[in-house]
Amino acid sequence: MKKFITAILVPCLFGFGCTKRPPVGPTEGFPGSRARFALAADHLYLINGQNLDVFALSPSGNPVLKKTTPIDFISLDTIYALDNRILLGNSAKIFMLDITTPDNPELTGEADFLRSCKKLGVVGNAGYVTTRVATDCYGFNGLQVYDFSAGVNPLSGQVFEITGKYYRNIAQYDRHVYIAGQGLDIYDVSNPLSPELKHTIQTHQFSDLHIYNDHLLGIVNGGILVYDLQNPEDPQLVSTFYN
Amino acid sequence: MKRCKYLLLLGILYLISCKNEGPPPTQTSGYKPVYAPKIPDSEITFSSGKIKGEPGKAVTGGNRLFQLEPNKGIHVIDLSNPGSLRTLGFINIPGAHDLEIRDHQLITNAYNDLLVLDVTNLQQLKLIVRVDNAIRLPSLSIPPHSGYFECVDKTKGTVIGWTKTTIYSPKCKY
Repeated sequence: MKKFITAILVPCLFGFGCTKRPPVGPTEGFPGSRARFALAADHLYLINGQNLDVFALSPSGNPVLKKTTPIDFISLDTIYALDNRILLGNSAKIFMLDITTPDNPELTGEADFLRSCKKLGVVGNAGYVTTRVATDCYGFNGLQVYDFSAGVNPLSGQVFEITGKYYRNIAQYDRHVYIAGQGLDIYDVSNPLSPELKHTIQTHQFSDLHIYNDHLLGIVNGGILVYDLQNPEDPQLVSTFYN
Repeated sequence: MKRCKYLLLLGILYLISCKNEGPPPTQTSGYKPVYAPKIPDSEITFSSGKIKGEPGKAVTGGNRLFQLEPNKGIHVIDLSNPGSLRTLGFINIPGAHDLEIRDHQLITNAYNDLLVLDVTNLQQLKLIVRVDNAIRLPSLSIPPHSGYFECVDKTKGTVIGWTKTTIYSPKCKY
């Protein structure tokens, strides 16, 4: 019996001799560099963690918080607004909200994102969403197209998918969509639900795109490339700007 | 044989007992959190500047392009002549993460604060309104590498980074 007690006691003393591990700070995720703001109908929509905040903007620019809408338990990391719709994304899903009543956005649809992380959500006649693999999740790089014309939950209708493309941003001009990434891909979207690749410019890595007065502005590291869109399928470089 | 079993049991119990790490050091090399600072209005200024760092989101307003340089500010470029763009200058806004333009109002942020600026005349840039703590930035709650670190004090705000330095009697580790 004495030996038994010793056998129990000795290891216990080893155990008590251990220092308790200090507590670890809480984990809340890591900052991204994606869009947090979107403007629509004199309202600013702002993603704040897992919520969507709506600010009404007075003519003088004074923002007044109107509503905070919880969206998901995973923090949101991108937002895009067009007309009366808002697209939100996090690392697992995309969400669509109706902002016909701007103060009161209503969730109308959501779609699983195959666990790929979206870089940006864009809406054309159909819903165009670039997808991107991040280090903390898997999936694919590319483009998904959703049919927004159908029903209550338009995001359920994914109709088109391109994989293997490192896409970042989208701009639309006439019947064409320009998608930037490692190069610039030009799609004919006469049928918005079935984009057709027409041309690729592979000279630069673009981080953002803008349409300005029949020109395409391609934002590259340290500068801007300006393309003339007289022939939208074959943009011509007219100037480069590096200051 | 009985003695042998006893020693074996002792050995096993010793092995499964935790490793003694000792108390936290009174002084060691570790990480200290960097909290989002409050940027005074006087630091939000317009000056000449060149696009140097990582290009961020851009928006067009009138014949100008406003391009974010994350955490530093916003470049303003004249688009009047697409064949020859011209830089107009740089709006210094530490902690800027996003931007939108509405007429002549530039909406952006300085860390946790939402800002609306009147950009009608860039030389006389005007802060229309600041909404304190309207933006909840994602917090970097743990340092980039394992080891001892100074615990995060949430009352000091959002952690935007970590700096390696000498820390004293750290209470946190991972």
